[in-house]
Amino acid sequence: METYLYIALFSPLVGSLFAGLFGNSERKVFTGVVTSMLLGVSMISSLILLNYIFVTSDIIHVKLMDWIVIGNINIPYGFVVDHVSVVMMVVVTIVSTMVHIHSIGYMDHDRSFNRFFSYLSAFVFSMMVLVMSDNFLGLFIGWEGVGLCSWLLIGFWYHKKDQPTTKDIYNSPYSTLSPYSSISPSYAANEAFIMNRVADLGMLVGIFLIYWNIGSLQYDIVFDKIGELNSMTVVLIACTLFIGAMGKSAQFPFNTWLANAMEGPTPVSALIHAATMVTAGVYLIVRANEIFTVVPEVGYFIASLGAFVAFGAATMALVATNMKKIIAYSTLSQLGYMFVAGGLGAYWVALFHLATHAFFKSVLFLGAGNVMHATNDEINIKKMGGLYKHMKSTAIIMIIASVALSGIYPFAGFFSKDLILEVAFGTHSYILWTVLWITAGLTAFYSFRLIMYVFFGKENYDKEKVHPHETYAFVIASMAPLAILAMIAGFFKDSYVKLVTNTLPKLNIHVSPETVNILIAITSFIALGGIAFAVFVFIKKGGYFSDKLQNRFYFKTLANQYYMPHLIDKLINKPYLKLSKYCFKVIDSKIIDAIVDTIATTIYKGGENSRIMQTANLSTALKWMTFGLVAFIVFVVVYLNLIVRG
Amino acid sequence: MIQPISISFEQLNVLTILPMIVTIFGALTILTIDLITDKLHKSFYVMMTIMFLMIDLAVVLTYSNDTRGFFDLMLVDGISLLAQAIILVGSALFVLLALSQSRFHEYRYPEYFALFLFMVAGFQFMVSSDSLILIFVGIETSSMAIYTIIAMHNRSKSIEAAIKYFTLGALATAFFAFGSMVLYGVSGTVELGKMAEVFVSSGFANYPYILIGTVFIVAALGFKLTLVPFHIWAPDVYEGSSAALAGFISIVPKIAGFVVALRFFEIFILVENTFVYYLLYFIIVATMTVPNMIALVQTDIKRMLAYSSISHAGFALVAVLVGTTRATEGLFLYWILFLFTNLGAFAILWVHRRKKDKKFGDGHPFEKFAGLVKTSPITASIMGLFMLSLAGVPPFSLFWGKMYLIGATISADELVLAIIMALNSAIAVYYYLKLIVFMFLKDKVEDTNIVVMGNANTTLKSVIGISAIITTVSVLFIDPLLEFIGYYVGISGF
Amino acid sequence: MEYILTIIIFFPALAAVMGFVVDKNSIRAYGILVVVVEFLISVYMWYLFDNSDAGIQFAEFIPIVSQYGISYNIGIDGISLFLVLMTTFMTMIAVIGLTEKKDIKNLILTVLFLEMTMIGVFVALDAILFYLFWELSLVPMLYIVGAWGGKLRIYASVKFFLYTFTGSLLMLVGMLYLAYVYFQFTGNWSFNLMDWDMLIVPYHLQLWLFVAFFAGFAIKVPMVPFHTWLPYAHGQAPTIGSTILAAVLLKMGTYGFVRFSLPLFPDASVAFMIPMAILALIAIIYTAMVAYAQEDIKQVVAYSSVSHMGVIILGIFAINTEGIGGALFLMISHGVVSGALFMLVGVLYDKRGTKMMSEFGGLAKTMPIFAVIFGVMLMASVGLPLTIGFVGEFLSLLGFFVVSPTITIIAGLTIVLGAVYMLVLYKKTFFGPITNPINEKLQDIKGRELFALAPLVMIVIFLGVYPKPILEPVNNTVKQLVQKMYIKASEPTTKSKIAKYNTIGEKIQ
Repeated sequence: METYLYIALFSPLVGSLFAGLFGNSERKVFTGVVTSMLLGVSMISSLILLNYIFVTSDIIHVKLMDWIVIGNINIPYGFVVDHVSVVMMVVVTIVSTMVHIHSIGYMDHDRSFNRFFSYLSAFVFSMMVLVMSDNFLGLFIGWEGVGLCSWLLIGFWYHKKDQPTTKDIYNSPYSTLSPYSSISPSYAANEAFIMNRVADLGMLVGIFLIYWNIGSLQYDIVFDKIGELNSMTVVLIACTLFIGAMGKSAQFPFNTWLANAMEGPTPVSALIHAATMVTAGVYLIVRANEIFTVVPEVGYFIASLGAFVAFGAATMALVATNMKKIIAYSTLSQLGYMFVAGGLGAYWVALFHLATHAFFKSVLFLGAGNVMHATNDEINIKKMGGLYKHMKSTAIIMIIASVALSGIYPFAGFFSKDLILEVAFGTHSYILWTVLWITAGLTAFYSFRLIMYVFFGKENYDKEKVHPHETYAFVIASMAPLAILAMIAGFFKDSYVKLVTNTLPKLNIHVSPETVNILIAITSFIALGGIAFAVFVFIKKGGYFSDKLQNRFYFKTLANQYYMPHLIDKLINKPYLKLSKYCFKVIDSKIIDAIVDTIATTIYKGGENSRIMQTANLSTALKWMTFGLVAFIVFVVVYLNLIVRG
Repeated sequence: MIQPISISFEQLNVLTILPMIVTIFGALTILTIDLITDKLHKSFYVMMTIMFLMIDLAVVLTYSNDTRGFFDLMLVDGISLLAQAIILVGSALFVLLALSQSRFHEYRYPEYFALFLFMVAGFQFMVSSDSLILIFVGIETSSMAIYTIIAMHNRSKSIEAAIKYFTLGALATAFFAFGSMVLYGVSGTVELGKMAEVFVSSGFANYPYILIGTVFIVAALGFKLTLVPFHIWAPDVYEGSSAALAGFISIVPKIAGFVVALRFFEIFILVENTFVYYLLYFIIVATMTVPNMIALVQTDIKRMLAYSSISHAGFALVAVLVGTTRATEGLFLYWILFLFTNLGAFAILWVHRRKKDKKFGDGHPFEKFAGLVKTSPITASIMGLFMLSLAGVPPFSLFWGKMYLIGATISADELVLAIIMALNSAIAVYYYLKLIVFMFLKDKVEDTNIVVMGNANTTLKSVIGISAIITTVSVLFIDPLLEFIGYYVGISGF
Repeated sequence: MEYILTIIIFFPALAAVMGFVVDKNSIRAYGILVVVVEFLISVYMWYLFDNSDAGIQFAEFIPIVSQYGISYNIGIDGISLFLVLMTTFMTMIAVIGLTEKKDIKNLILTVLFLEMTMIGVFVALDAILFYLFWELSLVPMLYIVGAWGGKLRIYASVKFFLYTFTGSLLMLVGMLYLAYVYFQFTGNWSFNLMDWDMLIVPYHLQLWLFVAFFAGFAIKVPMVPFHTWLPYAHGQAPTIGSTILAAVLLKMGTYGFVRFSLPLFPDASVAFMIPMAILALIAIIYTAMVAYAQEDIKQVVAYSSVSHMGVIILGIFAINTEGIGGALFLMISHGVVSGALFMLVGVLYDKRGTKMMSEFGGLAKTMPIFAVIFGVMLMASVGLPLTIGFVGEFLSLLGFFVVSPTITIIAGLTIVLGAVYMLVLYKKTFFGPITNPINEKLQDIKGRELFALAPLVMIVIFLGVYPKPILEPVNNTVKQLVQKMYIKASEPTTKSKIAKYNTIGEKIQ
């Protein structure tokens, strides 16, 4: 079994290096093919591992070699495949394999085809490290690794120039109505990296705390000992770790980078910014559930934040016309759901929603990719419409995904999402439940608003330039499995529960079956309601927000993402730059260095001044000598009077 | 009525003045030879001089413990022997510089060399007596000789310098005479040793007079040792006299002065007299610092070196203040190493001297050496080496002297003084660096055709070479040198 | 091979002397040969080195000034081993990558002399010997910066010399005083570190002596506010100068702290922990900001060095194995990375004659390989895991966390601010459209440059993935060092602190 573990882990790396060899040469299809196949291999071995663990339910734990060994610290490259990580592995590998295949079609005409696949596989490798590591620092490797790859991939089209920031809401890179997801890909990349760095600092501190209090970073040891620590310490650990999670999963206030990350190629958004990387935060919570269960108060905070984000993101998605940003925000909102579950102690539920979400959200993104591909990278949903007849399969897949996202029976989303609501209700956190319930409605609405705008209604795209066409068959084929999973994944629930509850705590919520049914009914009702509303309004009006409405303050607020980008720019970026310049121009040059130079010049001046005693004139010399003598004699007198006489 | 005193020859202990006799005899021989013939080339006289100096050195080295003679007028103790050795070696090396390529006025006169030997004799008297009178005689003999020698360079500047030196010297002599008189008045003796006893026994009776006397002597010594504020003459005299002679003046007379200072201040340091302590402290700090700062702004290398050597004198004088054996050793070590480094530095200036230099004349402005590394890297490197040594950059010779002296100061719990010394060396680095910057980092000044080492020949080159080697590998013979010094200082009980 | 250290020290100098006769046109080959041989010798020394032995190895002892206890006393242990290797390695790389044309002969010979002094500093076990090499190293640097530098070269070089020289003179006074203290206790003179280690200095003296040594080291490191010589030196120095300055010379200061301050003045070191940490903190944050404000690529890298040196200081004054070990590792990694970055900047400068970011942009298109290498070094510099930069930074911060979580958290901002200025630099230089047409025709690096840079990339990755070769010996020696400090500590509080900072367990009560 260990072999499978290593295969699953390293075949993406091999693929990445292979593709990297051709990094600078022109497009070679086989790089894409090879990497995809290697990913397939990785996927298969993950499935084998899944099966193995499902049957035998024993854990595979290997130690490759030492990494950092000094003082009391001893960190190996250790990997563990247990009931949790194997699920994650399967999800990651399946999605990434499909995305790889899809990308062969999507990146078809791109100059840096090979480079792309190298990065993409590198990402998968980092993600696998993150998932499979058996200690916190190993996880941190993957953590930073995915960060790096996301930096590379967001900034993949580095050659694009920066967009000026304008007040005009339809062109400002800060708004969701403009064609620009961010100032520029490279800018978005840096933003993502740096923001994550801030959160990572939190995580590092958490690691420090764990090390100095427990003396090891190995999961098993830490989880054994965590109970012995006093609660204050544990609270700190939990909080700091969660800060790390917030960064990766773009929870408020670290959320802005995710929307801007849409500058990256769409498959990247599908894989990294929907299915896998952004869920790493959730995974961390699930992974370290022993820590969080000790401190439920932190958990409740997490849940509340999650609900807050779920709602906030959904509202932003309502008005957006930037297709990718809509989906991005829906991702954010769904991450919120997961955190609610995680925070309330329903770890396996969180993981379950993570999995289902990975399937339908990735396929949704891939579909969006097809659409953009078909319309010359048009991104504004209002400039599309009526594409259904041109690209049926894509449309169907996207509709399936949206239905799943809205949580309609029997699609995957239904099972996971309802569970979360049930948990919220069951833990008597009714406010959270209400928020999530409303959000469910919003979700359904904006998903189908997008569907309607894109595939139905009159064709708003420029007919001369754009000739919409369905993409390659194999691309559709690559999306099919995901779509199918989006439909049926829910039915694996029971076996899944059986599997993961070996490691994760069972739910301890007691809701009577009839209450459950009522809940389901209510939720499904609002979801269907959202869909129905979206459809009917569109059929009646062909649009949603009247111009009058669009000038309202709250509309602008939503369109400007609650002005968060503006605020960050005003309150952090600009002042920091100012302060830095001040430090350099004033403190460093005018004060510190000036002082140093002044000391030197003063001494030099001293020379200039004392030089005057040096006239080549004889009489001055005589004067000085006599002066010296006299001075000494005076000194004698003074001395005798002061010192001797006292 | 006076009893006729019969003195046996043994009592006189003529041996004690043998070293002086050698030099004086040498001087006389040179003069007689000159009377007989005047066809002899300067090199002959140079070699004669060196020969006598070497013989003298041999004589000096035969002594192995202090001996007194001439009714204790003469005191040939360890430090005097050591000082004499240094004086002789130094003089010998500097005389060699007379064998320069281009012919200079003074060397055409054999009297020059006679005077030179007389001067050496004078120094030897200075260092080998603790009688103020004999010291006085010594000072005078040497000074008179120096005045003339400077003047013989026969530039208007040198004559001027000689006159200045003479006038100021006269004043200093007056100070010395007056000081000795006062001290004699209060102590009834002119021998420092006895004087000390008298003072101690009488519990420093008529303290004021003692101090007045002391102050006058200090002033006189200050003039010899170029201590602030009696240093004014030095730069002009250095500038006036030829580089070779300037180098000599910066080394040899001073060691003699130091010995006198050692003997004199011993009286007060032993009894930890606060007045003298403070006085010296002030003088030393001033002498280290002020010339250092003035040197920063000099544009002529010779003047810069003049000021730097004043500062070095102040540095060495610390030993007198500290007064421990260790410090005294430090003083001699420092001065021996300083001797070679300074010799080298001035020698290089000397070999760059041309009789008719359109642009720079007699002077040695920094520009003269600009971009030297391009034209003659070896010379530049050697000069740079001397500068680094003077700046106290290890492992070059003077660093060890500095280190040892600072160490001695610290061991005497004079931490503040030690730090002042350190900071002064830091300041000093700047002007030594200045020359290096000119030689290595700047480009040649246009339209100058300075012939590099225009005044050089094998002898001078070898002198420079020797001092360069000594400066570089000094680390190897610090140990034996210290033993040597330690022995002599030990026997004299300083 | 008991004389191997002597060989390693003096071989370059000897070769330099012999080099005077080599002709201008073949001097480059000669220089490369020498540095490669030197590197191989040092590698052989590493091979002979016994990792399990925490003490001094290859020791040599020859008295120089016996009456004053000065001796030619050298040896090497886990602390200095890799600094020596790094020195020989970086010198080799720098010489191979050398593109300077003017007075190439003098330059190479000077570099060889410099190499001698640098190695001497790291292997000297006698205070005066250490001081000797320490000061001597200034001279070649002065020449390199002053003769091959930019417009302000003379100002920069003289400033560098005077500033560092002044500091180290105070250090010399400190050394002499310590020797005097030793004399008072034992009755004989010695500057031998081994002897000094036996000595337990009274507390109040420790404080003063610590300050004296601090004057020497802090200026060299450089620690804010004594850092202002550095930007000038780097700004003006030729590529090889900056490379060696950043890679090796700065490490002398931090090495001094580890070699002298910690074992000789354990109480003082502990007493000064927090003040030092605060200085380091200022260095980290403040210079990171200053770096962000630069327009000149080289200045960014220069200030970033100061910032990283701050982290090293922080690690050293954590006074625990993790911290000190991490600091030592960071010295190596920073040596490699900053050296590499300066060489990369040098490449740009050779091609375009400018180092201004505004002049570039979109280089990733025209110079992909160069961009990749720069990217790797950038990631190493911001401390990405699996690059050489992470291990040291992580351990240093981890080490200090037990001393003061607050300071560590603020200091941890280095991973953020570092990312800020580095990524912005990278964006401005390599990303975006090509604004300046000249950049269209830029050649990607190849040949000599590539040959010089490739090994650096490999090292950066390899040691990042597998730092054990360095950490193992470092670990042993540092453990011993900490024990020594614990034993020597005269104040009870010191003992308890050292013990506390080296044990795992509940900290927050």
